[in-house]
Amino acid sequence: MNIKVGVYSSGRSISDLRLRVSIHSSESSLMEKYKLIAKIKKGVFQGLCLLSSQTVTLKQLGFPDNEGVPGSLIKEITLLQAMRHANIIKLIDVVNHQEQSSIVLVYESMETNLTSFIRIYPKVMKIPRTIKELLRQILLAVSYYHSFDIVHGGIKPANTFIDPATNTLKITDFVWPRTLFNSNTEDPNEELGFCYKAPEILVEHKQFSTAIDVWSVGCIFAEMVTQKPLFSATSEFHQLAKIFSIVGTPSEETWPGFSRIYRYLHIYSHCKPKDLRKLVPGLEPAGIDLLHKLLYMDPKGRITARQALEHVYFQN
Amino acid sequence: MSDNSASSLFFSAAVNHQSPSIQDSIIDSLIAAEPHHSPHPDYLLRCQRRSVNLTHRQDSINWILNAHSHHRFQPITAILSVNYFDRFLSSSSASVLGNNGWAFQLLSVACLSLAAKMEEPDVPLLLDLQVLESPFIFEPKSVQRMELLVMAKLNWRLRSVTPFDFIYYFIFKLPPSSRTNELHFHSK
Repeated sequence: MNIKVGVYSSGRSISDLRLRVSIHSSESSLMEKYKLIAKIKKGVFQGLCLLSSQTVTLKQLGFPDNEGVPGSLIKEITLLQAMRHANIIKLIDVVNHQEQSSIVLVYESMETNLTSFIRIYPKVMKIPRTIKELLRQILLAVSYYHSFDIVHGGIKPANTFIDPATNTLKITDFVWPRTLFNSNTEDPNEELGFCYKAPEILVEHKQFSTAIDVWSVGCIFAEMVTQKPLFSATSEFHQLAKIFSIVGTPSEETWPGFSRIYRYLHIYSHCKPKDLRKLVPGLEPAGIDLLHKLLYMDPKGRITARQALEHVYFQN
Repeated sequence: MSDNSASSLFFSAAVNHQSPSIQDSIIDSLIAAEPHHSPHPDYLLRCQRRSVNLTHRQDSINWILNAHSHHRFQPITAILSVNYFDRFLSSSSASVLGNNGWAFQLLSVACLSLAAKMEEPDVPLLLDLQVLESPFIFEPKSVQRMELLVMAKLNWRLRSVTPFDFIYYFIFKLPPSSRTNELHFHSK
């Protein structure tokens, strides 16, 4: 096939150029709508919407230009765009970045994430009702994702924002780790995300499911009570051993088939599950029961977000 | 993210929620969302007054449908392509196309490509997508630029509410005895 650059047909490449110019001029420029205020991390900026004076978070996503806009990106952004939930940070706008194969996602901005909330308001976090209310909101957001069969995959305190005035909690995905196109925006100084990873992810089991988010919620639940991470290993390598040392090393009874999924199981010493009541002191018995179900090792037996919302812990 | 086709978004939500009241609220949200996924209300009038170039539009849609059947795409991909095409044409940006046949062709390629990326498990390469006879073939870079422009004009609302969303709902509403034909329907 005879393919030339631009439009194939004699004399048409000039027209293509003209179209490019007109496309260019019809794109509303990023800078016309938003003012950059500060860099948060690589590819993520704090900005101001010039129209509404609202503070926003801008995230730039670049992609190759050899096959148009990548389909996975289109699917993901159109989905984020279609989702509306009080406990999920809203994607306000998507702006084409001129002259480059990139787009800028514009999110509503929130200042305080759960990590800093715990640090700034330790006394508020000591109130059992606060913990219950925040956990309920996380579970509402997670069950909303899961109702669309979406696995968030990166739930951690740094992605969980709270408005201190109203105690409204919102989960964000603009640091969505599984997104193909922002792998290099992960900041090494950022909070250690592996502390919240489910065991099936750590053993690189390929058939992971929505249950991995439920595990992360369990980790956050315990952290809200004790104000420190439950499974705080020094590295991702040690994370699994840390989990086993608290929840118990999986056996054929607690996780049927695990030894087949993970062939290095034998190198871990056999640990018995520790008493969560001692590790997470101050949590009411119903909360301990829910925590057990959220941190159930076998993802098949783990409670779902929807079921968790109906747990007796939330009944009073 | 699920690999399922994008159109199943609303339906999967409908199935995952069992209670009939939630199903009803889903049909309400479908109806409410429909105007956001339709061409501008005055589009038909502008077509009748010929302020939209109907010859170019017809040529473009013929090309889309021919390419669609050549690649054996699903029915939803045709609906979405034409939906994106008409929504773009009804927007203020349509003037960038002028009266140029090649610009309409570029729009057709971009709309079909976007719809295929949303719905098809196997999306052909952009040059393969354009194998069907046309006086113009565009390099992937140009198609990408057009894709981005189309998506911007559509506010990235590519998960259009289509008749399929409603069909799923109405099948769900049927008494269980008549639902035995569901599989048969799906296979069509």
